[in-house]
Amino acid sequence: MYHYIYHRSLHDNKHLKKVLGFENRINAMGMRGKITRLGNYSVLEETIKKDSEANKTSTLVVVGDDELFSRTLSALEPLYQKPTVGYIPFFGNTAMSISMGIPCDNEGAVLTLAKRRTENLRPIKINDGFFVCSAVVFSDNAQITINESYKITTASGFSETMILNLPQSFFSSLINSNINPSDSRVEVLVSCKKNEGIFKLNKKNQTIDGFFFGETVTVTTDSVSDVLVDGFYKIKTPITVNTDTNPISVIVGKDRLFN
Amino acid sequence: MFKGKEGAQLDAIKEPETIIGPSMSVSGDFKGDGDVVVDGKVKGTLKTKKNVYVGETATINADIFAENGTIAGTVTGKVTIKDRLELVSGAKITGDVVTRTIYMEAGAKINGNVTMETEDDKKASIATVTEEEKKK
Repeated sequence: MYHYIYHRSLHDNKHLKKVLGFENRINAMGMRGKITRLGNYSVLEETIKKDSEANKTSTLVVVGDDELFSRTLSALEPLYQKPTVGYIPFFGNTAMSISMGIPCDNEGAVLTLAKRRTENLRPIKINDGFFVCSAVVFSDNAQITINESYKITTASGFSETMILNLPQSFFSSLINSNINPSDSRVEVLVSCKKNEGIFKLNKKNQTIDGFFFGETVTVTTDSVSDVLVDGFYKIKTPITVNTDTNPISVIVGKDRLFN
Repeated sequence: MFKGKEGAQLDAIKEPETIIGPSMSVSGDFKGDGDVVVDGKVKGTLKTKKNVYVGETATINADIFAENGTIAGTVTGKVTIKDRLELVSGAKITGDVVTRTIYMEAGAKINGNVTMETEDDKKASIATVTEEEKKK
């Protein structure tokens, strides 16, 4: 059975026509299912937990944005019963949908869902939470320890440290070819130029000062610094990242950026 | 500085797994499975199952273990390369070198012993002797 989890803003009248169009499409394709219309994120975890315990859902479909997709995978990670997860990027292209090769138009996204091509995606533990795509540390004098065996420091003060689990369209194939969300490691990309965030990294002349990988990564800073997690919430340093987590089967498109 | 496909070193490296840029310092025991590019500082040990490329800005105070190596910078420590070691003009190694094949440009320096035999060769020669003894 399909279970669709709708983003809270899909209540809004301005999306009504598009929502109806989407529902007609899934009905026409025989993919009708239960629909949960989220009021706020606080009920998401409970909804997913109950769903897992009932064990009636074969496919949990996130209809919304990267935040909802990331929160859904994070809520599923500790559970024993995990349905396959699909994603409809309802509001247009997002970093995660592009990485997973899911078209931003509803028609294309529903077709991708119907084809049911799956890959394992491992949410990554970061302190007490998880991330799916990336965690970015902006700081002066970051010290990065990988696998508790070696330490990385930068000579030039300010650095941006990106811990990556999904490849991104604005990285070169040289970088993306190393990133696979199903393996049990994360890639660590260090850039010493001052940027405004990972999503600003699409500058052609962006240089990479360091590129590493590991199963556990800790980042400490001289003073407490912000860490942007999956592009939508912030935590503070120090952080500990651990890849010893459970993979989740997700539906991907043929144009995904990883194998 | 590593600059994607435009970097000269990358002509030889298709998909580096690790890049240590000129502004980076690594200390401890580094272990890798893929190609490693070093343009910064390394202290400790540096091991990879594939190739290591030490750029001219690199300063390494570490023992190096790799399949193949190209060195243009400064290395202080033992360099153990399973197959082919290439020393570019300006390379300076202070320490012993163990490799199967070595290529040195004019201007490259080694201050240490060079052993042109790998562990595999030693095992092979021991095995050959044993076979000959059996025949006798």
